[in-house]
Amino acid sequence: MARVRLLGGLADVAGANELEIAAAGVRELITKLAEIGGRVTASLLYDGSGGLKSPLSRDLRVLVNGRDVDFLGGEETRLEEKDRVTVFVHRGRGFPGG
Amino acid sequence: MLYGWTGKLLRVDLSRREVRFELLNEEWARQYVGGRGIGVKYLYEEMDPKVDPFDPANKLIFASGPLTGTMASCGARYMVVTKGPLTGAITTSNSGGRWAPELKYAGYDMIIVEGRAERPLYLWVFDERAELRDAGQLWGKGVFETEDSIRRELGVADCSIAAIGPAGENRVRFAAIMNDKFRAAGRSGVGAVMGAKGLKAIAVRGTGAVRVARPQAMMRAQWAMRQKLAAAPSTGGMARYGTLGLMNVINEHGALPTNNFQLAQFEEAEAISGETLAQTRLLANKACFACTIACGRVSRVAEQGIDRYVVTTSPRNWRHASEGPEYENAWALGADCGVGDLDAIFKANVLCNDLGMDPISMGATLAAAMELYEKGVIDEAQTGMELRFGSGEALVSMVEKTALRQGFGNELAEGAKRMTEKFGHGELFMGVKGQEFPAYDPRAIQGMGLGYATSNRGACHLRAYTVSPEILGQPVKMDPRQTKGKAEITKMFQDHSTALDATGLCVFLTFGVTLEDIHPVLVAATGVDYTFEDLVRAGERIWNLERLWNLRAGLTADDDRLPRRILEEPIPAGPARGEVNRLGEMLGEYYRLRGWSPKGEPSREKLAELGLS
Repeated sequence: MARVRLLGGLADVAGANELEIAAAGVRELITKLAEIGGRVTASLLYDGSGGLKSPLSRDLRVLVNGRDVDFLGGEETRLEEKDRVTVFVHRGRGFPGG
Repeated sequence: MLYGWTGKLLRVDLSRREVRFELLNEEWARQYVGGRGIGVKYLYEEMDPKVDPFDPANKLIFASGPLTGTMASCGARYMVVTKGPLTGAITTSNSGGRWAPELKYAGYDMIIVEGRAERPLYLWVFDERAELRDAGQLWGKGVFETEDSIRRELGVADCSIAAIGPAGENRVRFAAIMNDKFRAAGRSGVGAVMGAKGLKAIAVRGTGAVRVARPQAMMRAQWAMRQKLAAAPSTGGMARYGTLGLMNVINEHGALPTNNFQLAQFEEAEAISGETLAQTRLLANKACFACTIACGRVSRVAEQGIDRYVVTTSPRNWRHASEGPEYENAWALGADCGVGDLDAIFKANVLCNDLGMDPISMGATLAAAMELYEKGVIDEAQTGMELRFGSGEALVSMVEKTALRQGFGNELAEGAKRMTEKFGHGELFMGVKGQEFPAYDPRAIQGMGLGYATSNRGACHLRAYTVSPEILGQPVKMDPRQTKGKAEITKMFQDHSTALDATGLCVFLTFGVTLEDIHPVLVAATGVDYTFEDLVRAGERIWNLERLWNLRAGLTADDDRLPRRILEEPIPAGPARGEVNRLGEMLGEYYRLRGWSPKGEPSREKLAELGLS
């Protein structure tokens, strides 16, 4: 079971800021998270219609043990027992300070 | 005729107790835009950079931008430009609220303050009238009481006031200038310069307006920017969590400096996070003039309505609401001091506002003292109390003592660099050019190390916020552990943010829009047909002029350094365990991209290109 930490608005719509989810990898974990959190959560996690087959939102940040999965294996990143996963959404379109 | 700019400034000679009007140098206005840009240009042309920051010859400039006071979103900003007593470098310290729009409506782009008053004075500006008034009865009072007293005395309830508290009067080297009670030109000790001049406050009321060159184009450009801003959910997040929403994000990355950068994760981060504040004590948001983001927090000071941290100065026992804290403040007064009690942090933050101090430097300096204490370098006989990490009592008590320069507070009032050097451990100062680091560990976020090292005003997160690409993935995703490409993006961010600072808009606009969105608003307001490249070039020109000023003041490439801890002591635990900052891999490339020599000096070609020969 991975320990999942939800930050900011994602925790609000999912109704919890910490969960335990059994998943072999990041893609499966996000799919289960969307199912747990319902339509609103799914709309944050996926681009387009929010359907589960949509690609992951480009604004979604997923960390495994504090490391962004973009620098691990992306959606294919494997999860080990007791990995700590952090999920938050940042949809800024500018770049502060610039 | 000028548009956007009012075309006039006030020059205040405190030594002669004179105020006179001048026309703004129009050529400089076009080249340096306004705000930070034109303030730096005037300081560069008028002042010897080698003078002591507290000498009457140091000048204190308040500069708005051409978009300040217009309908442009977040057009509320002014920049205080002077020689910083914390750093000895040029400093540019920014604030919002509604003070700067009032200045524009009174008919002025800038105020230049010179000399030193024999007796404490305050300046009252009401449209074309400007007079210096006695402030003897205000000296020693906090910011809140000062504002209320001036309003009563003037009988003008809706004037806006920028003031210093006891910290500025006592020349605390990181004293702030506060306006509208809770907005701060916070960093580098601009308030101490104002205190050294004997100027307690500047009250302003204007009944005029800002003329714009092309009203219809301005409406279109502003509306386009406004829509983009409203559609950016991150600005919605700012309203709900404020900047404090970053606390958990940065902590989860293992980049939250804790206990004077001995650690990079804080076990109690959740307790002082934006999420916790929103759930337990947030009452309302507050916005500056023309702001559509409203990142300001109005919250209960004490969660249970009982103020457990009693101090001797006003405000004594607060049970009601106040503003803040922002992310930086909560980090410095919280995680960096190991304090996870939001009541203590809130009280310390309110005191910083009322006494007029920068909470970042305050917390960071106390954190360095706590490390000295825990390592046995200083003891209770010197400090007057236990200074252990995690002590809310020590935090609140030392904030008050620092502002008043009482007891060990007199040492803290000198800032972390001078304080640690005095006790023989300068290596425990965590900062650059004498200014303490803000809330991101540059060992875990490589680009921030370069940004801190090369910031003209000393360590600063706002000059090149590479957290955006390295943590938040905007505008591109960059690996925070790698150094490749960081020199290029740091230079680009510095030039863009400097240009933005010159317009009179707030940097938080860029959570939703970019400088490219702002550019047409500036053109419509001023009627000056800047290209986008012209605007970026203005940012680069200002950045280089600040650098030239610092070189003339005696700073060198040796001042573009990070502390040994950051370069050599790996982060001991957490996600970024084992990391140090690799500044050496970035700095040379940065100088080259800037067109500077290996000594960090702008080349003749670069100066010619920027019109700075």
